Amino acid sequence: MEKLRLEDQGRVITALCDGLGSGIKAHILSTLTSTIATHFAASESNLRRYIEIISQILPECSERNLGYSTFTISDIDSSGRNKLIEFDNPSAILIRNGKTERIQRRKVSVKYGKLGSREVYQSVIEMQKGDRLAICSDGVTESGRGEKGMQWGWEEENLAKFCERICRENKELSARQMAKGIVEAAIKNEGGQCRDDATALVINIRRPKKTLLVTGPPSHKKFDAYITDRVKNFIGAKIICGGTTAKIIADMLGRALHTNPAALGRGLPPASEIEGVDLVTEGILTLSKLEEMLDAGSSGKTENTPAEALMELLLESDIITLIVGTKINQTHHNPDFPIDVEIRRNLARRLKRVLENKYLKKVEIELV
Amino acid sequence: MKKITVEICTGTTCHVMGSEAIMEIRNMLSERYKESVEIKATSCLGFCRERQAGEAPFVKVNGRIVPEASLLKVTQMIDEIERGN
Ligand code: FES
Repeated sequence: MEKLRLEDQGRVITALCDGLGSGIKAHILSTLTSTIATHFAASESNLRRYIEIISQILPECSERNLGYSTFTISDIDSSGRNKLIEFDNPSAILIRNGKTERIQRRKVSVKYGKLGSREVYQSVIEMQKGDRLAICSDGVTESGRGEKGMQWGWEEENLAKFCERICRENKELSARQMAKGIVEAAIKNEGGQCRDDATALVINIRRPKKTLLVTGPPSHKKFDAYITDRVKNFIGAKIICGGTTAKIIADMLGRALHTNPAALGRGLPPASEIEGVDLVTEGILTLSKLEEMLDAGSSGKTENTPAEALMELLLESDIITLIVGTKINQTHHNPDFPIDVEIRRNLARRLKRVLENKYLKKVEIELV
Repeated sequence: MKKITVEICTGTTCHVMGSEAIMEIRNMLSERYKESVEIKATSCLGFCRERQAGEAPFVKVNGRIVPEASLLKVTQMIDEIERGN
């Protein structure tokens, strides 16, 4: 899977690819294809030509003497116009108002290396607010093959029904939640372990969700009121990372800061609570852990740590503002201090980078 | 009888220096003490910034600062207070 945001053109291009075979070889094939495909799509080169090129440059699988990877490319602009190209993947599913909407596809024949002529489907979807488009690999539609009642696996039709149902059940269902739901259902079809890679990519058209994260006490006391006001008046999710920062804001708001000793953080300091704030955690350690998790792309098993709660909130957001206090913490300048504590600013910059590059979030940093 | 309050600092420095282990005290107090001891977690108590306060982790037992706190040290203190009572 590859994602590309062309900020100046307001376009987001994503590609879901599935390489021939399994393991490392298949992974290389699909990674190569997705990278090439997104960049070709971005340059708006001729479809026939770029599929031909892909077929020629993919390394061949030694058993089948073939370099082959399926792909679906979605190229969506800020008006919601989505140019879709589907090559040998299960058909994309468009859910509008809880129902599957037919996608008008145009069939194009292309030359694909040794395979000769292949069919590619092109479509343009004018996506509307609330729409969800699910793109899956065949590991999803073929999951459960041979199981009771599923001779051919789950199949596109049942997948579409499943998508309809979960969208109807939860009108606020995010793209992430939906993709996760699809893959989990596929794994369940297989009795807990997939025989093939099951990948799902979901696009959801919604108003951007905003989140404010404040970490670190401001450089001067006079800014305490400013950060408190920002938290108080912010519309969206509010997060505070840092004990001292939390104390400053709680005091200024005249609200209690409560740390629950039962909510141990499994290696991290426990989260706290301030009325009106969605999440209050410790600072440096939790944010470092968050960065590590974002970098590894780990989601899945939840252990209920403050870092996971934080990751969950951020990944559900689209626009994130990080207010970073720059007061130097004397503790961390103690040469005896046992860990290499990062300066908050650098940590914030690294978080911005990973959130933008890997998760396509918009992140702004404000230093106070 | 007035409860004995134990406030365990969970701020960054104290956490790194081992305060999470002291939290285990919740599971280690005997039944009798469970009634008379109140365990609280707090964010940074501010002592880590004062050289003269000693070393982290810090715990406050009935308002008294315990530097370089450990499970044993805190349990002993509770014991002493109990016996004194
Ligand atoms: S972190 Fe415990 S006193 Fe500061």
